[in-house]
Amino acid sequence: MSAAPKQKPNSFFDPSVGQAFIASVEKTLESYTGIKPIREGHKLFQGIPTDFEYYGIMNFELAGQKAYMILALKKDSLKFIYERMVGALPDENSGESDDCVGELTNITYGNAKAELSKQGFSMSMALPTVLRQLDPSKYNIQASLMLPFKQQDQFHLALYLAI
Amino acid sequence: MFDKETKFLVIDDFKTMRTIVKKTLSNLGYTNVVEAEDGVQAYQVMQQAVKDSSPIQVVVSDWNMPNMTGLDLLKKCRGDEFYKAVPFILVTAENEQKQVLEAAKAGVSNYIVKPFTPVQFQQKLEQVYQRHFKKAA
Repeated sequence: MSAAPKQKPNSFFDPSVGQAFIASVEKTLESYTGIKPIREGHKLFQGIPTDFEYYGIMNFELAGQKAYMILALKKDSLKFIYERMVGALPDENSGESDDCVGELTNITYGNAKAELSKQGFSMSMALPTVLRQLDPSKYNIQASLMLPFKQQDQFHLALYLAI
Repeated sequence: MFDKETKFLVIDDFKTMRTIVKKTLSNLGYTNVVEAEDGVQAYQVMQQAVKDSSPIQVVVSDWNMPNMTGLDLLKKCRGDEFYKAVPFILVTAENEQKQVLEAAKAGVSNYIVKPFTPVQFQQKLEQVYQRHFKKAA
């Protein structure tokens, strides 16, 4: 006899939504760098981050809520991750760094989407946007949940889930 | 397993992922690899390869791409007189069941979920070889 389906969360900030995205970040980084990232708690923000150097942004809809997923990294962290993924340092002038952020964002979103789909959610397919700077005035964001990750000073990045 | 001279076409709108797949193939001994950024470009590459008498022998394609998705490219190949039986692997970050079923219905040879390890990739490639060539033997 099959198990009863899980109850859908009531809001975008239900723990299972955040957990799916956290698990996706962990899986992605551990698979490509060989290092399991450590999440350093969480924090609620009004607005969105502006103190990182690369931003991978997914604009999507979940449980009727329009939302953003933002993967934010510092340059040194991206270089570290890229070298682990590809075996060489990125050529920033040819867009390799931006490209890598786009792919990390794509994979993080895709894995979370697949997990949440098993829980009964429908999420749109989306293509990431990569920016070096974020202009908060262009995004009508009321609040965001910041999930920072770190591993022994080798990389720091943050996942933001924003509405 | 596939012969080392096998010609691969790697398709992804992200160069990072194309580099990773090429590197993985290279580590397995496959260096005859061409690239494309999306399904439209990929199909052009495939057509030109036929004209050049050097057809693509295995396709490794991302799913979610602008202009033409990997799934649409797969369907186009399955309807192409020359490429209808080409081994075609879809690589994607999303492994929802309905997507897997859609790919199977379209005739995909195998399906790899990102992120993947080199060992996982090799296993999938071996499965494709067994499915396409050992069966006919």
